[in-house]
Amino acid sequence: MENGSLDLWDAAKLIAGEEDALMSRTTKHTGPIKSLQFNPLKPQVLATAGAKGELYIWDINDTSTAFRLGTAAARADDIESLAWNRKVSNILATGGAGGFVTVWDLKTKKSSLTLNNNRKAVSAIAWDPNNSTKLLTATSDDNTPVILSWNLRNSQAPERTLQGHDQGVLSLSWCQQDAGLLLSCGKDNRTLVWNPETGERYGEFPEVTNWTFLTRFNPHNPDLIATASFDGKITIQTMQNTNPSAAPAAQNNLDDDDFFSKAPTQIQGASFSLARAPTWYERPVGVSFGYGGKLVIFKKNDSAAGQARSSKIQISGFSVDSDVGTATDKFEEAFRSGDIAGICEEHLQNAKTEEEKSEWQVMKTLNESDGRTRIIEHLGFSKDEESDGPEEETAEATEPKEDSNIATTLQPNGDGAPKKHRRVVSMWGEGDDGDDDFLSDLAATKGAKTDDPFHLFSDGNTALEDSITRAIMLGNFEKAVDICIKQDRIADAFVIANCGGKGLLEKVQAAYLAEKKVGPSYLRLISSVASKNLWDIVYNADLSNWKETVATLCTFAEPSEFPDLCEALGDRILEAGTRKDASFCYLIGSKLEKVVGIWISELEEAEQAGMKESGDDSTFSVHARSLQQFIEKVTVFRHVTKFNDGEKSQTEGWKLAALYDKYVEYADIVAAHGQLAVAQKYLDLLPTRYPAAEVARNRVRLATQKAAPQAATRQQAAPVRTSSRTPAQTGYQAPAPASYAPPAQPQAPRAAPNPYGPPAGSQFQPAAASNPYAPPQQNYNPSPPAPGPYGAPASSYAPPTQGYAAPAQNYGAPTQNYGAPTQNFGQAGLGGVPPPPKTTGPPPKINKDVGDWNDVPMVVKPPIRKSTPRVAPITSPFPNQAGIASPPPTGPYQRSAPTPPPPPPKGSAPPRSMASPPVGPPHAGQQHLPRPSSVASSVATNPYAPPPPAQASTLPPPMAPPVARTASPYNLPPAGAPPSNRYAPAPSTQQFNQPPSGPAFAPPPSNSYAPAAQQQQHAQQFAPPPPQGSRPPVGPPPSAARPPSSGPPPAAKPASVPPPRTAAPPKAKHPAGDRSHIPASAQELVDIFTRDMQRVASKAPASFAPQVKDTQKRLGLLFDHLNNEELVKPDTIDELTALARALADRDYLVASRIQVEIQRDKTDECGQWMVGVKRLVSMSKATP
Amino acid sequence: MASGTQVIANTGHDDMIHDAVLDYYGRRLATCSSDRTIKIFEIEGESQRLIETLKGHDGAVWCVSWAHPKYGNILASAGYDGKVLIWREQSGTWQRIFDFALHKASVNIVSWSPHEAGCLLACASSDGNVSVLEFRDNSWEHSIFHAHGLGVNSVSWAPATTPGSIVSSNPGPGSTGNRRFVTGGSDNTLKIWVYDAATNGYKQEREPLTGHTDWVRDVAWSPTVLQKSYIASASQDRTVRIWTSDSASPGQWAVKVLHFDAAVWRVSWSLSGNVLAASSGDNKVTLWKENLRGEWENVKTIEE
Repeated sequence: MENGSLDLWDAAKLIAGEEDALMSRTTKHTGPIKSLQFNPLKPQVLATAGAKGELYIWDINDTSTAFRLGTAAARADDIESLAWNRKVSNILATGGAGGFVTVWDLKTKKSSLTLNNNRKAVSAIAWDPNNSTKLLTATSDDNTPVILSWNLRNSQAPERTLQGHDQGVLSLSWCQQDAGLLLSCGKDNRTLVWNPETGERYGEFPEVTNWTFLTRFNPHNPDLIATASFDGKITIQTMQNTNPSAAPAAQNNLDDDDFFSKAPTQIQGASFSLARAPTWYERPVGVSFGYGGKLVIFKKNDSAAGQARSSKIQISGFSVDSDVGTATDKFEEAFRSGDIAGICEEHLQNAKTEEEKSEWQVMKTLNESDGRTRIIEHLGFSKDEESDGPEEETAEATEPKEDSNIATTLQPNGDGAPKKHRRVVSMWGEGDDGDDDFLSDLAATKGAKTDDPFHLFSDGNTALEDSITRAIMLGNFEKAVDICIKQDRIADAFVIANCGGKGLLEKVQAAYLAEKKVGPSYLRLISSVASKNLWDIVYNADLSNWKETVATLCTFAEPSEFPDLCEALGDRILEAGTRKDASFCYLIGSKLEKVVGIWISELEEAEQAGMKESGDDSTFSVHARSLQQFIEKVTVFRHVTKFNDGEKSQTEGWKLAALYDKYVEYADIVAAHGQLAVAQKYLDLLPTRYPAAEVARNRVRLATQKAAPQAATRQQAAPVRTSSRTPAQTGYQAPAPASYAPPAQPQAPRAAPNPYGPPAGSQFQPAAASNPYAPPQQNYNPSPPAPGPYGAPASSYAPPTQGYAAPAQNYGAPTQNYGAPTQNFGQAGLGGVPPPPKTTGPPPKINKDVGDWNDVPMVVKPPIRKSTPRVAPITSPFPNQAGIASPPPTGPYQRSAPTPPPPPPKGSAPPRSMASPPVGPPHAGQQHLPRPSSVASSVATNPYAPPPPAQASTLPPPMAPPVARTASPYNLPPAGAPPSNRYAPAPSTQQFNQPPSGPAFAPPPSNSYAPAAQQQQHAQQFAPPPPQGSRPPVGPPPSAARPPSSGPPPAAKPASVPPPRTAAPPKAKHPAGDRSHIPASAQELVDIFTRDMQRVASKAPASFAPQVKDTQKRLGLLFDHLNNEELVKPDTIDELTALARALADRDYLVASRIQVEIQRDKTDECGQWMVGVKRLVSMSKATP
Repeated sequence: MASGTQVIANTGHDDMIHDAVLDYYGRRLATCSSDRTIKIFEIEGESQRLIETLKGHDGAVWCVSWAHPKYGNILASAGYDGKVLIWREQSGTWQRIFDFALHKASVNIVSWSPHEAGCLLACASSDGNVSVLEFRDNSWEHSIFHAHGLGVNSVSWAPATTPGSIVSSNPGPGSTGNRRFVTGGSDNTLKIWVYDAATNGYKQEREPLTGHTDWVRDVAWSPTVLQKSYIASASQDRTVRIWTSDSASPGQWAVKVLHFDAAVWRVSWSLSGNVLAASSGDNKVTLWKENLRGEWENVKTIEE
């Protein structure tokens, strides 16, 4: 203060407005104190300086200990300014009115250096925030309003002079956070921003109306600066305003409490802009995680001052939860080597709970060949024991246990029968005796008198017995038995029944057992066994004896029933709350979905338990470990039970959804640890349309994709995109690749659309191309309903496919196949095209979605273009379905999409069977194909119109084989055939190159949809009419039978046509390609043909490949027929079997003869397949 | 290191790099720098290739962020020029598709919401405001509100599913998910904001989380879907604080403090949310894991 006293105030109290804020007042100075500053490094140290060169250093905790630097005599100049060094706490600089700057060292308490500020008063001093040897001095002299930059290493002259102020500089503030920023203000009312390191002046804040005597950076947030001026204001300003127009300039008084919320700014915003961002913004180092266990680190390189700054980036793998990684590795390794037993064993040892232990034990057991027996053993029963010692077993089981002998033959072995069996035994014992007697009696009666000493009617006999005897005598065993039963003389009844034949015996048995339901449980057991009704046992047996029940099941259950029985039992047990035992039942019953349910809850419990154990693990690793265990369990289980997920092709309602979720989660974790291949493996187990899986799969695929495929993809993407545009204009939506569409399919990366590719994919809707973003809802539709296999039809028009169209006709489809398509096309044909005659037949079976289609007339649907993006995402297992829908790529198809195809027969319908050939669409029949009404009239000129039928028909059949190959998409695993694949440039080639699919992929009735009715005439050349004569539809085409596939285009059919739905399917069908329903009688021939076909195919010269393929396809048709038990009659099957045997014996003469006979005698049964058989015979003959 | 470390020594940037992020697939790396450019590299195994340099910012670029691929190949960037730029790659070429210039000061971090919640981008600016851009119905909408008086340094979205809730792999259509995020500011606090459908804006969920004694430089909400919510905050005060909230008692946040030798600039959770990486001013990167006792352990330090 002017009076030289130093007051210390408590800032907190001041702010709080308290009265006693003044802490102390001392008066050391003799004159005014002109400058003071706390030591930035030792905040309790304060320096004050003032008139007459007085400079005191204080410890504010004890103001009495202040000492003076320098001597009073040394200089008389007033000290105008002082500043502590920012780096070295004992260094202090003072600037005097006389123009000298003195640097003091508190250690020596002496001045160590003096700078000459041109003999002009030093109004302000600022130390470099980073460099202890640099400081700035300001001159308040109006004539030389400069700021000097000094380096103490050269105290003779300033390093740099900052000129800019018009009048004396009064204050400096060197930004602590960024040494490249300096504020200065002065008598010219201006506040300037400098870079003191270069001398560059960045700019100037708005001028005020009076001297600005102090300016400061906000020490905490240097974005803000405050400048005080003699006009009584403190101006708070920001260092930056990027948007001056939007923010009115604001100058705020300190009184404005809420000044922070305003946006103070400089009016002449444009006048300055920092050339570079302040350093406090500059993030020098950072880290982020990437997919696949990657860690990205960037950090600043050390660089000398003046050099360009630079950073480097480091991408590394990381695995912190190493146990996840190693566990995964280990498991995969063991699994690959097939060491299931080993895995089980290890888990057995490590199992924490009994529950777990038993599960692994069971799985181990299941893995062994003699599964059921082992299970029984596992349950504690030995088969030998059961046979040899029912007593032991009984004791062990604590309940009478059936002896397998008893059970199977109902002829108890009297020896060693336990006491409890006494009754039975005695019964039989008596019976035996009695039998003899009776027999002899009976024999005797023939010639003897009735009052023989063997009194048939002895005195002791009751009237009842008499009547029995009488009945027997009369041969009326039945009556005798009835009487016995009524009288509860079961034993007798049995004996009598024995004479009366099997039927009677059973009757007695039933009666007896019914009677004795409440009796010994073994009887009940026998009853069930005898009646083959194990369900009774399963549902009614006491759960405490579930083990025995299971043993029974193992012994007696039919293989086909076994799983369901086990499941039912498991359900009961689970209800009763014994999870462990229930899971056992599910396990042996191979009921994955149930087991999984239990395991998931176990998983959660294990996790909970794991959390409680205090270890060094994180909750995450516990979670991961539990998950790992779970996955291992499931994997082993799947392996040992050869589980085949029949639901993979479904689009919703998966029973295993819970498992799928776990798979996805596991895959994510594994992928996060960098094991992408493993992640992919599990993702491949998921249904192709499982929404969560698609994203994850795609991610893994892309992450694993190497550079080359990526490049290929990109190249490919371009043409595709192009094509997608063009067709779009013509009204057809060409397929756009969708990132989500292709399931991860390493073999076909080529087909995978480039994720970075055109936006046409699911990411962006082409139609919305003008938009920056297509709306998310449309772009991305992970939910199953979206897929719309029918959406793809447009693709069928893609030029490549067309090439096949014509030849395809030569083959015609199997006759039956015409039915459906005909019908459908007819219905669909709306553009005034008369339905072909055939359409008069009853509509073929149509799947349920048809109804939906009917709801919406095709014409009103928006052009399919809109929907294409959805098409792309289809990971439909039935990609080829697209072909079916070939006709009008109009809305209805889209519409139909959401309806999931009905599931194929459980477990029997491989997804591929759903596929229909892409060939179909472009058929000549297209003339009749329905089109959007707008186009219908111009069919003839339609650029996509296929070659005219005539042309097609001229093609000789031998040329056809390639056509068959168009069906080769079957060879692609369903998941692997992204729809877009076919549209990829020249996909056709690839298809041709596909190896023969082999019988497993029996050529589907690829033509089923393809040939529209119009082509009937061609078809008939090769295919005899169906049994019903000229009404092809009658024979239910296999294709029609395929549940979802039947979906073709009945949409928008003329109203006059009855809804397809009304047409009852003539017969339940199995999808083409399905071989699981081939009757036993035909199995042999199927096997032989298949084998021989493979042999031929493997040896046939390449030039014959088309013929080979065609033959395969034709045989496939035969197999389809057989599978469906249609067309080919049993006697024909026999003949074919004979033919096959001849073939197997290489007796080609016989084989051909039979073949000719069949062809001659069974014309009506011979479809295209006959040609195949014929050809096989000749090829087989030619093949060494 | 589980696998080889790949170093990009010569990034082509003429100045410091301030952010480097891999895209969803881990195939592309976007970097941004004081040289006002953004560069995109394609990572091909152990090598990488510069495929694009994006120019458009008038100042240092602080942050880049990839959108979820379902919205396209979209990259958002923010810089000292106060602008948020949205870039999109289409058929191999990058285009700037949107400029957002309403912030009055440096935009420090931009962050895309979990894709389930929609196509939302939150931007934290030194002008004290947070803006949320939403792409919907073919246009960008924004809401901007004041968050931290002295500037917002960071923003991070909560996972779309609330921890502890049933995890659904297929959230119903139209659900906006869990639109919440946390911001960290120069006022040393964290604030949690939640979407309020009534006002179509965001409101502060609870009083600020306090404890840091200097700027909160970065915040990161763990993507974990386990029992707890985790938020990590990195501060100039040389600490990282990890805030946890059990699903049983929402709104209650317990805190653990991790100490560092230098200001901490960045925190980042691993994809599965179990590992936290922190980068500090001494050029160190440390990885942290929580053990079952709830302690955070430094499991790895990556230095030069």
